[in-house]
Amino acid sequence: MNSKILRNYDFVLLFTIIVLSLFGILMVTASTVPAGTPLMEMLKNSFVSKQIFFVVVGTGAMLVMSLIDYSEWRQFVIPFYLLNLALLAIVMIMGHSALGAQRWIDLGFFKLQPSEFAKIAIIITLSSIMAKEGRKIEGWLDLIIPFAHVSLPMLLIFLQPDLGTSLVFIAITGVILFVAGLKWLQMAVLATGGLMGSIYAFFFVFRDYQRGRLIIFLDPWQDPLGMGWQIIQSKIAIGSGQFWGRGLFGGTQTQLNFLPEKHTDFIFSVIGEELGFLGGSLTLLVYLFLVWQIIGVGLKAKDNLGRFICVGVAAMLVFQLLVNVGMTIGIMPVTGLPLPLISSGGSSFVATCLGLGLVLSVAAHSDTSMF
Amino acid sequence: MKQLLLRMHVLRLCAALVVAVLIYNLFHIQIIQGGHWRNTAENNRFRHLVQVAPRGKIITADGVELASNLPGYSVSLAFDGNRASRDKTVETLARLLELTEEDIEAMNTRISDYRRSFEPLELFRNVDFNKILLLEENRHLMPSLVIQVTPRRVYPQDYLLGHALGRTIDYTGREGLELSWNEHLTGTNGFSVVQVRAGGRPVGLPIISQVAVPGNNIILTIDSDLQHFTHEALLRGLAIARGTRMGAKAWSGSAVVMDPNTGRILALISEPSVNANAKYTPPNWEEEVPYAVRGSNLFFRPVQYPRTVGSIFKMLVGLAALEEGKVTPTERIFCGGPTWIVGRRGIDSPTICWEGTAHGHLDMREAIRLSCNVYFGTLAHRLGYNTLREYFDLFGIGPSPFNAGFDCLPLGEQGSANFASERRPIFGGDVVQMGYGQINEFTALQMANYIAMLANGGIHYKPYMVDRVESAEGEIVEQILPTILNSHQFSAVNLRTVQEGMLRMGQSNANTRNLTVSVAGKTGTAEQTGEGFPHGLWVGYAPFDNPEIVVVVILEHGGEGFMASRVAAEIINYYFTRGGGTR
Repeated sequence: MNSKILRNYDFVLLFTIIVLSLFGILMVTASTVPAGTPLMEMLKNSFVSKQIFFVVVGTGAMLVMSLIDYSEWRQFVIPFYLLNLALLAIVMIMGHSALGAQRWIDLGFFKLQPSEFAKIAIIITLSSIMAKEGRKIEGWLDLIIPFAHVSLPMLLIFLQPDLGTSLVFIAITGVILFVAGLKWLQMAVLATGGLMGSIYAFFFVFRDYQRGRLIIFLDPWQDPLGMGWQIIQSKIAIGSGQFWGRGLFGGTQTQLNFLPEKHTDFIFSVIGEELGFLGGSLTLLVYLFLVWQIIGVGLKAKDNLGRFICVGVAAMLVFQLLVNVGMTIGIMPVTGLPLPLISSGGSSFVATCLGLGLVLSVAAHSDTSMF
Repeated sequence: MKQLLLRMHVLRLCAALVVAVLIYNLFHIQIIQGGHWRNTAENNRFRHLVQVAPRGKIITADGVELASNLPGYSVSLAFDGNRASRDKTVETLARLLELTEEDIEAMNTRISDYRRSFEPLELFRNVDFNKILLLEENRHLMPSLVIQVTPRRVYPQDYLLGHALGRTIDYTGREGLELSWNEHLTGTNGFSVVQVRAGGRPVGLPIISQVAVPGNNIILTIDSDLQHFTHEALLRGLAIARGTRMGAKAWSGSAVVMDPNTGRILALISEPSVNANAKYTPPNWEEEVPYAVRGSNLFFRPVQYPRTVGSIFKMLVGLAALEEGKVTPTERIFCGGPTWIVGRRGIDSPTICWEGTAHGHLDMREAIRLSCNVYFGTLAHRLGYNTLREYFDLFGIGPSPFNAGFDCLPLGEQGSANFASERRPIFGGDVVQMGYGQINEFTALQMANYIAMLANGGIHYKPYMVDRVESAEGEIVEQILPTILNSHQFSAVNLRTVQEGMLRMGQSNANTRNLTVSVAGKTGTAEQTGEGFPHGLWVGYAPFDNPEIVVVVILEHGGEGFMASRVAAEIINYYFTRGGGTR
């Protein structure tokens, strides 16, 4: 191994990631295994063993990624992009043969969720495009290429339908363009346009049930047994945790199965109930530290590509954190985004690790000094 | 470049802002509102309670409820507490209800297999009220206990139509009318979601509730007074038979009263009757009741129990022979006492008329009046089995569809037709015996249908006993109309000949001749091997000119047809003197 890589390697970031991943395994266990189960039995639980497996695989992939110079990926922009589109198209086609929303490709041993990997693919490819020599954002025409680049995969994901993940694309794109030098006027126009587009879509594109799902968080008591159920149960769970929490495996909401999807999308409810405000806010602060570090890596990066990758990954994490945690405490609509690194789910975990591997690579290859 | 780095610092602050917003909200919900939510989680759990919809009632044409509901108590186990509270509840419950080891094991298996944990699991239904009081007293020991009032099926008239009503298991129709009309009788269950305190008691009003919709009521064509009277008359007939030296076995029988112009069944009797509330509890028989009856008390005789019908079958043979041109209304056939109609081969005994009488020369009308076996054996021989068989089917008494197409009761419960031809080849001697109603066996309902066709001139109405389906509010959901299954145009002269034969029989019978209406009838005596009386049967209709009812009476081991005619006369008299039918 190159000593320069070792010298620049961001071990603090790596440590933070591993801490969050191990914490994820713990919480997946707490939310799927009944209290009082012996340790060996716990490990036999399929959710727990799968999560451990994916943490090992994901962390391994991350370490490999971190050792490869991220600039190498520039030459693969087009193949990456096409592979990404192909996977999303396969999901689309299979989705027609299955019921309603189809987000997965069943590989037998593993359900691959291409939209998770699409986020990472877009971070690499958009960053490469924007970091090209001489590319600047001067006028409106300069936005055509990045917009076209992102909107195609985003549309495929939106049609799955997976509103949450397609919004992550907007966050990633917005932040990368912001750092790349988007003008204030452009920002204002885009924000206004986006807002009007959303309002139009809300009233004229979405079906009734989608509309209902989006606004039920404003008053979950309208439908306490239907759409509002998850939100009410999640609020009861988190609220009842109070300051100290009810103790690991001690949450009645969790243990009595009042919480749906508690090991995936609603895992923060379990954290809130069992570890309380202390555990919940600490988790959020560790997340903030992680993102802070990632942007810090970007600040020290040797080139724009590295910076864009870092802010892209940071945007992805912060947006998902906001939407996911916000959903569990009733300030955001229920959109089905997982909490990165903590929710159970292989695709999400491995994809997040790939993104973080890129960031670690940016850190490891930040030294521009010649010797 | 400088701007780029500056913007990245801005992003860091944005991330911090997001986390700050989340922590602020977390603080609000966990610290400021925490007590409230803790209380909700601790004390208030949602409990999803199902409200069982009352089953529809079964009501007679004159408004007597045969099947209805009473409140019963069910005991269920809720899964919203913790494991310990559940275990404690089950343990206490087993002790208070004095469950056996086996019961406890079965209950625990049901509990561990239960997957709908948001809904209480019903453990016991129709729990005795005293037990409920005991459970309520010890309520504090059983936090996961749910006691609910759920409807329970009862049959207020006990024995009236007890067989036909059938029964329910777990409040679902499993037999009889309860089964075949289950879809209509079953209502839509309601539910409510209530908050319950830690002790398991509901708090406040239900959050959400949907009222149970009762099932539809079934209104029968059966007239309860007529049904009741017919049953009494049959019992009187059997009692009279038992009063004689040979009548010891006369404990069972059946009767049908039917409208020949529609197929409506007005009374349907099966004796021994059963109490619908305790169908499978053996009755406390008097000692002299024969074993054969005890074994067959669950048969719904008029639709389930084919019997040898004897001479009442002769009109069919007579009409068939007239229609096929094998005899004319006026042709006289000589009866000289015991006769070998097909020669000695193929029959092991000669055809003998009642006590070996010789009737002399007889035409059709007289042959019916005197019930001459030689006459009708000869006609059957002239017709041959295949032609005779066509007339079985024509009169709806063939093996298929059994019971003339009657389908108000589950078809699987209607016994099976007993046709000799289904079991073995038919010989010439058999055909002769069929001519006077031996060999094959038929149900009372099949006989009622055949007589109805003679009375109405050849229209086969499907027999039915459900008039309409009504909603709980009394709106008609479905009106069942008479259904013509088959219609045959008999020669008017031929039909009239047979009818007049029956009228002569009716007018010469001491029981039926003095009624206010003119009765066309036919007695039958089905010889039984062994001791005691043969089966006594009577079929007929009244009034002769404008038939309103068909009556079939079968007294098993009840003596000759004459005994049955007494019962029939009482029924007919009752029907017409109390002011006609219910239509």
